[in-house]
Amino acid sequence: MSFSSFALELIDSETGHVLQTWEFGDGDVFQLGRSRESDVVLQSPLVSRTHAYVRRRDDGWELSAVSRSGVFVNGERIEHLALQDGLMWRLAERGPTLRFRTGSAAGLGSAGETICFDAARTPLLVLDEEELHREVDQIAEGDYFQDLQRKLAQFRSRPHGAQTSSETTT
Amino acid sequence: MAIHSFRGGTGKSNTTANLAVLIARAGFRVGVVDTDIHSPGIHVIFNRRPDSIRHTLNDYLHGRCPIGEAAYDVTESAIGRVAADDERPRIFLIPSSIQAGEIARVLREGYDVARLNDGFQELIRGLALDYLLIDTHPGVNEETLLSIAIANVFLLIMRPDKQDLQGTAVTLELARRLEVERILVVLNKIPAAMDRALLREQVEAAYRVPVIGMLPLSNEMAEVASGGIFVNSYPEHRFARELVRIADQVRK
Repeated sequence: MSFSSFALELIDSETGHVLQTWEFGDGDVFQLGRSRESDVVLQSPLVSRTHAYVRRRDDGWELSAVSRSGVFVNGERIEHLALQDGLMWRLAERGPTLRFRTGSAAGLGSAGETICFDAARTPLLVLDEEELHREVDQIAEGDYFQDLQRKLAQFRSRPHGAQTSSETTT
Repeated sequence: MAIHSFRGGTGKSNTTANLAVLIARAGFRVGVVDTDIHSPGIHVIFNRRPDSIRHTLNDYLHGRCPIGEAAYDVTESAIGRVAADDERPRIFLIPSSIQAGEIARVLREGYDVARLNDGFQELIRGLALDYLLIDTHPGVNEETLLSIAIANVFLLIMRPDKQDLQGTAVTLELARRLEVERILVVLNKIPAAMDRALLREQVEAAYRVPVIGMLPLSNEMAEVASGGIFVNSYPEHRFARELVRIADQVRK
């Protein structure tokens, strides 16, 4: 995949439609903001004059937040983020939504080529399994959980709706 | 049925109230218990004025009344007029106290979680309920674990973000270890620009449980806020229609 070019798309947050596209080839740093000097000019009162930058890195592109009103990915504030094809973010919590497209997916420089975007390649939500097991084990090893597990078998073997008595679940 | 979310603000109480109304409307007797004792709120959605509430779940937990006295028939305000001798549909609300002193007492002293379980069973029997919906406190604590453990259906409500995904996974795994019969997920507050099919795929892959509903981030929902039952105010809204589908799935 070529990292030499990319496109940014302004997305309508209601419909998901692309409202505007900016394509970039040469250059290492691009400014996103409300000021007219920005490479991507966004006329929103929620956007700062200089809001964020997209910078070239050795292995791709990086998004850096500058504005105090922040950059948000899935509702979470980020400072720096390596950009992947299809990644979306908001300038300010409720500001405009932008989407990053790399050269091949954005169809740059290959007019007429079918644009094919395999979204599954860029998962938004990934579990940290290690962290999960650590947390679950910590709770499951606790006295209350162990006790609850023991008593459940007893409880489930009762006729439906039967009353438990307090001394069986201390 | 225990309804839970890992974090606050997911729309759990609103979803619970709407599901209660939809299930009851299908011809059932439904109870809704607010076990979010630290930050109660579901009574607001049912338009129950605090001064019309005499006894609460707190009174029962502290031994001041039988649980039946903390149950309020809210059928008329939530569904409409039902003939007095009609047994179905009915909705009963068991609110938590909103008095600062009562909340402080629970925080300070805790309560006998086993008594809560007795209360649930007594409600089901005493009010001849077809469904009991338990609106749980966010996070994982003893009453949450108990509510999960004794529920036949465990419904998790989450927003499509990383923090919710990770936190919800913990609760879900605990529910699995407690061998809950059915674990279901509802995604709420989905931004319009998000790819819904991909989202469902990712959550189902991470959790290995079905996503039974995907609710959009809705301005109308935010406007109704907690001032009423959304499915009553906007029955034709796509948000309401999705809630109907969720209620049907839950009842299966």
